[in-house]
Parts: sequence; C-alpha cells; structure tokens
Amino acid sequence: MEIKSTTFNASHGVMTEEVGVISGELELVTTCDEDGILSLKITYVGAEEWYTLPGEEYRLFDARDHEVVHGMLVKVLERS
Amino acid sequence: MFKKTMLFVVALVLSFSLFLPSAFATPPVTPSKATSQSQLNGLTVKTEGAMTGYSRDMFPHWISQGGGCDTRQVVLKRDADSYSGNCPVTSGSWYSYYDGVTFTDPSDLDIDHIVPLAEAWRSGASSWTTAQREAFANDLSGSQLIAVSASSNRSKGDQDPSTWQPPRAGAKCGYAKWWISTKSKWNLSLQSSEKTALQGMLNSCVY
Repeated sequence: MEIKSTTFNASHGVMTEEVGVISGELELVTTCDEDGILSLKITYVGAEEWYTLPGEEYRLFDARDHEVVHGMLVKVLERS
Repeated sequence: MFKKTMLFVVALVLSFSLFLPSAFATPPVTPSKATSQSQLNGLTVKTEGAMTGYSRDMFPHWISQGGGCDTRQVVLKRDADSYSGNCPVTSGSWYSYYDGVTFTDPSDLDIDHIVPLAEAWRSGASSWTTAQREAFANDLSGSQLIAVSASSNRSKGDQDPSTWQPPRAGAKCGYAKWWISTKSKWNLSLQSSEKTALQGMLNSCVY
C-alpha cells in the first residue's frame, strides 16, 4: 500500500462528486495497493472532509506507475 | 385615434400582467443598482482565509422550517412557477435563473447558496458560532438561496464571481446584486479580483 499526497493551487477548481467544483489550495491523496487498485480523494488544505473525484475502479497495470500517475493527475487538476 | 391606441396598449399590458406567475423564481431581496453599489463599496477587501477546520457539517443546513418542511422544500416551493405535493414537492415547473432552462422534476433542482459555504468560510464565517453558520445556511429572508439546475450548481461549486458567473448573460446583474447583498448582510469580506468582477456585473444593470 502506497500513499502519495500533493498540495497545489487550483484557481479555477476541480470537479468533485459531493460538492461540485472546489477551488483554492487543495490536497490530492492517491492510494495504490499491490494489485494496482488506485483510489483518489481530494480536500481543501486543512479541511475536515474529503471528496471523491469523478470516475471509479481505476487500476494500474503496474503498481510502480503510481508515482507517474499521481504526478500527472496533479498537473491536470492544477491547470483545469 | 392616438388615445385609442394608448388605451389599447394599456389594456394589453394589463391583460398580460394577469398571466404573470405568482412566484418569481428568485430570492426575496433584490436591491436597486444604487443600493448594491453602496453595499459593494462598503465591503471589506481582504485576502481569503484558510480552509482549516472546514466541513459542511459546520453549516447545519436544510433545517426544519415547520409543517414538515425543511429549508430546501420551502425554497423549492417559493421558486416554483407551479408545483404539486407538499414536503416533499413531487412535481412542478421551475425556471433555472442561471441557465434559462425549465425543469419539471424537483430532483433536477439544487438549492444554491448564492455565497457558497466554503466561500463564506474563507471570507469570515470560520470565526462564527455554529448557530450563526446555521442561520446563514438557511437564510430565507435575504438573497442567499435560490432553486437552480443541479448542473449549474455543481459547475459553480465554491467559486466566486471572478471565476464563475451564471452562463445566461441576463442573469449576471441579479446574481451580482444577490451576492453583494448576502456578503453585506452577513459582513463577509471579499477579494479584490471578486470586487472587480462584481463591479463589472453591476455596471451591466439597467436599474
């Protein structure tokens, strides 16, 4: 089980399942288990509830790709 | 001849007014352009605060309003052109002010907090009591609540008018007035980018 966390600024926001678009200083946490099953969650930096990103059942072919995928996600969410 | 024409026009206007919907699909408070301008001038410009400690639970919303109705159902009824059912409302007709689309299924509507809860948190509400936040999140007397399409509410999310404005051009004036009026009533601050956006929207108002 590997957990990666990155904070970034999303001035124009990121879509979530629970509350629609959230913006500002955000934290993305991705978790990947040995089978490559990937889970994603996002919050405001310092806030007390987490939100779900759209989509589900993400699975990496190789769990070692976790870091690359995490980095790509941050880049995409930061500019969206 | 001229008088007759005028009479006809007056009769026409009167007859049309009979067909106006009884509900106006908007919050009860919409200040004049001049009032909104002075409210905007009176707001404190400040950098946004942190989101530390934030959750929606800090703003208890859709509380009971009596008669088996919660705040959401009350706004749903208030903003409907017509409806049937009473808490829950089962069907009706709603004009979504933000996007100009009409819906008949109440599950297609969200009750939007004009000033979003997260936005309120970072512009002053983080230091309020829970009771104050509850009053803000269920404010039926001001310009804070409106029934709009769930899709427009989701695309708006927590954003202020510098990054999100209603897609329907004709909605920008009213939206700016309600936003300003809510921030003014609840003594919330605003950012300079937000103020610039609001001023531009307010300039588009005719009255």
